Amino acid sequence: MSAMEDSASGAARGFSLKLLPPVYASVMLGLFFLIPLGIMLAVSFFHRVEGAFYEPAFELTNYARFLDAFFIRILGFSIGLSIAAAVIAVLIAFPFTYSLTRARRGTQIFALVFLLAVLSLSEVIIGFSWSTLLSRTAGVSNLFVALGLFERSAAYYPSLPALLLGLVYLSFPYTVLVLYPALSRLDPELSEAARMMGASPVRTFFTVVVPVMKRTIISTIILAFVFTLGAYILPQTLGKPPHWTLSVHITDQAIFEANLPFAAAMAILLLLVSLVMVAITLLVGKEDAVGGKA
Amino acid sequence: MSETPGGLELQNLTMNFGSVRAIDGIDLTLPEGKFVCLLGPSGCGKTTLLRLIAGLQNPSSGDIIFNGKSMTGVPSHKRDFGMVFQSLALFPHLNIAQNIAYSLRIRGQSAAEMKARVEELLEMVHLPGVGDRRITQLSGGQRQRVAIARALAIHPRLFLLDEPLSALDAKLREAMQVELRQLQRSLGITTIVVTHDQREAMTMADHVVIMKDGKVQQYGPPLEIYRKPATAFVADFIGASNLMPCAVTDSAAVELYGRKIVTTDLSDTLRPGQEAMLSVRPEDIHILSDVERETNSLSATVTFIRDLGAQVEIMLQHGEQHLIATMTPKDKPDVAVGDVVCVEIPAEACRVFPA
Amino acid sequence: MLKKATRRQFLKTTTAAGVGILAAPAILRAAGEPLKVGTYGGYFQDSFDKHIYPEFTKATGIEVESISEPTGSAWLVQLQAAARAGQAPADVSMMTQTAATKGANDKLWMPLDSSKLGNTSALPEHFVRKYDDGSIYAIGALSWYITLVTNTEVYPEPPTSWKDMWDPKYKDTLGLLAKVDNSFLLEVTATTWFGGTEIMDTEEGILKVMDKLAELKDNVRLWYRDEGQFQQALESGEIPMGQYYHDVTGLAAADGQPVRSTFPQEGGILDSGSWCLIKTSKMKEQAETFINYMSQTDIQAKLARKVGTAPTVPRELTDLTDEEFAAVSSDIKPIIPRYDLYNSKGDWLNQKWAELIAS
Repeated sequence: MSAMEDSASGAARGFSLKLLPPVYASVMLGLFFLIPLGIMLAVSFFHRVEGAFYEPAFELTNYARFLDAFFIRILGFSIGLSIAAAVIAVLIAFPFTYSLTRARRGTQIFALVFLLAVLSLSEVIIGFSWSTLLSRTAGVSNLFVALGLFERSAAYYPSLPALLLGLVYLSFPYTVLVLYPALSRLDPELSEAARMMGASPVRTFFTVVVPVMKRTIISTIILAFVFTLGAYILPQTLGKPPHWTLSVHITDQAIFEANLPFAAAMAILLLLVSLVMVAITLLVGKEDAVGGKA
Repeated sequence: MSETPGGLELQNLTMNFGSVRAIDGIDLTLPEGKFVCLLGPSGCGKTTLLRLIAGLQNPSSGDIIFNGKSMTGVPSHKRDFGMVFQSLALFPHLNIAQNIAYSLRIRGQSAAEMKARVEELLEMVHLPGVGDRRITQLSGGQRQRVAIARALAIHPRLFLLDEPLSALDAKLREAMQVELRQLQRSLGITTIVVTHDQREAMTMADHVVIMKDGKVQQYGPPLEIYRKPATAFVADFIGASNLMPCAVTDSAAVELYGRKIVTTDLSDTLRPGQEAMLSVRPEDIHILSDVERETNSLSATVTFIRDLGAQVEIMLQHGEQHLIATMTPKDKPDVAVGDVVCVEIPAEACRVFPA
Repeated sequence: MLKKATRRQFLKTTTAAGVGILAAPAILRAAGEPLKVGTYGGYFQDSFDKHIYPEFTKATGIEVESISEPTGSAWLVQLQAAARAGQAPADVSMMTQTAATKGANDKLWMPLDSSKLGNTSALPEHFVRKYDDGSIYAIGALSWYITLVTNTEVYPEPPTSWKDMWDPKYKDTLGLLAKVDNSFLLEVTATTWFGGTEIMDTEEGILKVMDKLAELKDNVRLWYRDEGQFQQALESGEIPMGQYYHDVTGLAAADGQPVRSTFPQEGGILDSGSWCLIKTSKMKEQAETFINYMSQTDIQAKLARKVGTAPTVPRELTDLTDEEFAAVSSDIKPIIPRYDLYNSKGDWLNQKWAELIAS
């Protein structure tokens, strides 16, 4: 009798243990992702009470308000800006990471620890540092004046290049850390084979390393794109008002206007647009791979 | 050796990795048009030597002279050598024709020229018509052939292969050895292959370089090395050897376990009384069922007989010393396990090395 | 340091406080627990911690826990969310006029007992805000001016009029507040160019004012949300001119920074904060005692001396000298913000404002 109970409970334990990882994963996913997303989705349909807060309802006015030249332009600008920042960051990070993986072990560890430290800097600190570096009174242009390159020091912020610079700086360590494992695993004999066949180091890089890593490069650009899309302090500190991204306007609506339904609707739309972009990129990449097989 | 213009000459070549000396002052001249195997145990420096020749690494000191010109300062992409890597290093993003045409494209050949050459090369490695397939659609042996075809596309001046057959199964490897050798012979290209497999080296090479600890132990045609190993290490590494400690007694004999062994091989460097190592090939040992001779024999007990059909191996023991004798079945003596026999060690089969 | 004498740090505190809403557990309040009072984090809060709360505790026996609150509607949003969850991150909070009205529309504030607020009788009527049923929900806490500020090294001569902001010679030099309802630049434009804020009674009028305001956009280097960012740039001369708080500018000047605050001839912007009690508070009596204490004329004078704010009570009721009064206020008629508009057509104003500066 007791033996039967034991085996029964043993079976039950085995059953529950086996199920633990997927259950844990779905609970965590629900708790930290789906529930907040669900709340946001619900709020995006709520009714905004002007001069007060909001009340539960189901209306599309928040989405309708977004379909306006002003916000569509901001959405377009935000996506363009993030793509530009992501592409530039990966353009710089890829050759950098490639040479890093070929450097001495000590150099590699030092560089990675340094990049992790940069990664830990908040947007506020990065924005403040760059605005100082690009300022007229304390910035690099004073160095150019001292070197006799310019007559007078100038301010390089707020401006679109300054904002791009800040965003690239923000996402650079992130892209390096994503690229590093993949490039470390790249067989060095591939490059050596190209060298033996007459390719210069530069030609080897572009005809072998880059094409072999194409998928990694695309997925890193997507990650950096999504990462910079969320930046909302750098556009305020380094950009002019026309460069304020949708994330800035979402923050404004949520924090300054107390218009959570509209903020939620904009956030949902931003999420959808970036999901669509990611899906398109992945589809194109897949078709490319399939097409190449023929 | 020969001073032919296509030859490769290594001058006091040294390579240090930190405090480790991977290549230790190698001087070597390899003749043109020959098939040379760099042979040695792992860590002996043979791959490093190949990479130095390829220009993938720069020597710490010394020089490499090719066709009478120093290769120092000539980067690997300007040496016009062909190389097959251990991992084959075929480009996964290109199809087979594109892989083979890679070096031709760099040299600016026209599409028609490249197409013709690719077809020619695929014919040569017995893979016609696979040009537009992906690398992943080929078997291991087929990839091997593509890698060889790719390395030969530009008619390289020197053909280098780093353990090219190690990923293949035994049967395919043996077939490829023969094929590679025939290919080299038909092209007449100077070829250097790194291998740790002495059978592979014996099959393919005109000359073998035996390496150990970054140094050349012996260099010469394989049979010469087999018959006259220069050191006890070579004797043991190339083919099997019965190695037995002995002492030099005079200019023509050693003492082995109290018995006199006359030998024709004693070098002048060995002095009477010096400890030495006697090496005898298993196939040179004769087993006699009658009593011991005065010289060049040793009594031993038969411990095991391995009859493989094509060859017979007889394991023997004299005190702590183990011996192996091999012979064809028709020469097999009439002995059984446990029999005490007389082992004859012919004077001309003895090699004596300093201990 | 990035932020030294600023009083409304929002970038830092909004993010932290936003997390706080989710994380704060409901704590049952026992008697003898401190009264939580929210003021703008930074210089304001430090001054209150140093000069006001200890003496209040000495006088009444009520302990105060000082809470740092962000500016704008951020704190209002957090209080609304907390009230829905039955919590009170602060009992009494200092709210801007717009935020106080928005909260009242949502019945966020607890009605106060006028019999417990004897000292408020000295306050002007607009500082005692009431619900439709006549119950009080907000009492003026203190006033401050937003004026024209300049870097004295870059501009040895101070500007005299808001009109200077439109002068092409100040191209790319201005730092202005980024939001319609904290910069009050529409009121400034209306008063400076259209003879008063009455033109803002109609939407056409407001659009006219906006068109005029749009003309100075070329002069604006920075539209700031974070005060620290502008103050630092003003002190270094990077952005040598703009609108800023009179009190903090005076304090920075007293610290030796090359900055000055000027009351333009059209008047400074007079903004004010009010004390509001969240409806979920369990400390009503202590809160009323606190608000009543803060409304005393001598406490208002003390705020003027120590914090640099303008008193909410009429000047003649205080013992401030001419010099002391001039340091925190001006005899020039102030520009009074049109809080009513931010209440009745806030979303429309915000949208038009965003389009104005972001295009």
